[in-house]
Amino acid sequence: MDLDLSPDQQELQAAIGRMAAPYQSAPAGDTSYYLDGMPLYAEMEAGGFTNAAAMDDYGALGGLLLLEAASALPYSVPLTGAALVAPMAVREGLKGPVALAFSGRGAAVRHLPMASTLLIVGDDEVRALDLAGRQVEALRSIFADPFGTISDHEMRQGRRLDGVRPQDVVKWWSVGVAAEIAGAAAAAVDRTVEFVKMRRQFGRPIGSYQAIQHRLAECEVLADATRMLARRAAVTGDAAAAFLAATYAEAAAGRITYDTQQFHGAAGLTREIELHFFTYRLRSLQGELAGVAGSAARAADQLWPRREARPVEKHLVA
Amino acid sequence: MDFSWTDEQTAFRERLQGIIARALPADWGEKSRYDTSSAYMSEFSRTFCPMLASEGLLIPHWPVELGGGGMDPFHHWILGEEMFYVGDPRSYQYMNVNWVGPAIIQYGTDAQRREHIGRIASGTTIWCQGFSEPSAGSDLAALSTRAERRGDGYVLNGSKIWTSGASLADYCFLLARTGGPGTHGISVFLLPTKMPGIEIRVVPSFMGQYSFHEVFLTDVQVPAEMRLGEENKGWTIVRSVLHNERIGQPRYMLSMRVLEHAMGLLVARGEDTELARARAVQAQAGLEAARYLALGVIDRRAKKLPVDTSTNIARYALVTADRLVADFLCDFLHDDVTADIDPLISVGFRRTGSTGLAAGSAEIQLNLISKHHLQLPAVA
Repeated sequence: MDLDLSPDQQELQAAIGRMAAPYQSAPAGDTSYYLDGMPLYAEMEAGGFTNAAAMDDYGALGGLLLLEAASALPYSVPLTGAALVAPMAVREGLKGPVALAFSGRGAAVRHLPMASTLLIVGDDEVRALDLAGRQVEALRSIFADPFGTISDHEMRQGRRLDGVRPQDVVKWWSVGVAAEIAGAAAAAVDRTVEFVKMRRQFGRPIGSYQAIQHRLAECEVLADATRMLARRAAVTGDAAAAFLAATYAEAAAGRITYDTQQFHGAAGLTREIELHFFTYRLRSLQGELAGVAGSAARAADQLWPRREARPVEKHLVA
Repeated sequence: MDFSWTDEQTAFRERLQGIIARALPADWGEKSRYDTSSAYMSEFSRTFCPMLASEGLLIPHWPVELGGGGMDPFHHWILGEEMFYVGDPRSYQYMNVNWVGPAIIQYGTDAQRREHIGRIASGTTIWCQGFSEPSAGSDLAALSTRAERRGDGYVLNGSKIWTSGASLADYCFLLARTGGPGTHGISVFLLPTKMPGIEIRVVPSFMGQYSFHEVFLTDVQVPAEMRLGEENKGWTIVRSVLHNERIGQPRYMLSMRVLEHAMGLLVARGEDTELARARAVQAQAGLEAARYLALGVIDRRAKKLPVDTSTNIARYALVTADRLVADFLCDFLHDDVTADIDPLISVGFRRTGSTGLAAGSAEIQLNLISKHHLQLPAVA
């Protein structure tokens, strides 16, 4: 048991930090719904960082550290598929970025407009769809990552990946979502802490009111616990741990979004102070895997197998 | 990062499990009700703890030169986990070995060590903690029980409340005011509970059998030799010995067992609806979060890093997780909870009520996280 990052992992984290440093803030005056982080992705890919999870020195935690760090940036960097799910569950080089979708659910796929490959998770197969020349339509979205849609017909295409199990893809996708929620949650809480120290009402900083202190402290507990559970899931590779981490993270995302937005007052609802990149990233991540109900159903199937199979919504259980 | 136990740690855990399994009677659940504060459990501890001592498992975390095993904080925590999984058959003797003994070793005189350490290390004595008072709960430094100097000793007057196990205990680790107000006028006394002038009343509660007491002190005459450490320096002792205990006991172990048991019942009855399963997972996720955050604190302790707010964060995570367990039991095992027949369901439901109060109230944890971790401004 050693709950600190290893020296190699710390070095990796520091290198990621240096690479991400120029992307910590939105350009002055920018009021976009999302910021294109493809230049950072390209830099990470060229430096071999997106392959960290496949390296013995780092393991899945290497990929996870990338996701945590990137999700704490206002920029949208499409790493979930390429830096974690593909190296851990597919174990063959897919052209990145890699977007992720359940079969038949192509209506709104995160990072699709940026992606080169779409990894499609079916009931009993996983397919990789090369998006070159495919019709991908970017959606207008208020969320902090770009979403795209693709037709059911296109979703049925792609190369079947032999030996790749759908449950493994969903497992690592769950770990990825938990890590991204951890990153965005930490960023939202950190920025809110700074805001409530500065914002004064009734002659004192609003961060001196216990009504705000306790709720923010609770958010910090949720964010810390989310990161711990995600890292544990990554290091152990355990399926139950992955789905538990996602369940916890998804529940935390809703709470943290509400409180951090609330403490910013009306400013938290604008696109002028950067908070929205994190709150609206949290909101989209919260439901990506069918939310608490979906992740909890997967976790429950690991923890408490049913005596007999019952029909459940197909997308809930891989 | 490594979330695995070493082979040696696993072997230590398995050895503990074997010894506990052999020591507990087959009807342990029925008899003990997993109630640390029960007369049964307390009496049981008087044979169980000497047995642990003979196996080298009562104080394995104490230094070798003091009769301990010199084991690291992870072993100490594994010991706590395995004990708590069965409701802690050490009863309140867990306090003896966790902090009463170490405090006496660190601050006591040779005579005090001779008098107490042998008995604590052999598992034959029970202590309670005389801290809280009617007007001094979270604000412990406001305590008003007085110890007036008279001749060679002191005369104690005042009262304590919420004292766990007081009517079962042989000694009380008692705080009393020997000086002025605030933290600088407090001293510690190692007080036998059967002295003239001490009256103990059980406070009926929803918790365990002897969870709460009032202790009334009327002209209790104690020799100065019962004072631990310097006069008026008691607060330093309390802070230093309780530093490592703020995280409390690994309560999540029993809660995890309760949840597993509860889900077993629901699955067997075909009552594990989607909603019940989801709510159980949320509780389980909360408990695992609490566990790994606690292990993070232990990891810091093992690395000899200073105590920080990770302790308060871990504790608050446990408070919220235990609430999820209690809510789950109430919602989905209504009949079992109300019938009060199944000891695990009953203890799971009852015990969670105190998680937010023991080891410092949940609100104090949030205050400390706000102040020291988030560094939010103090009220002007």
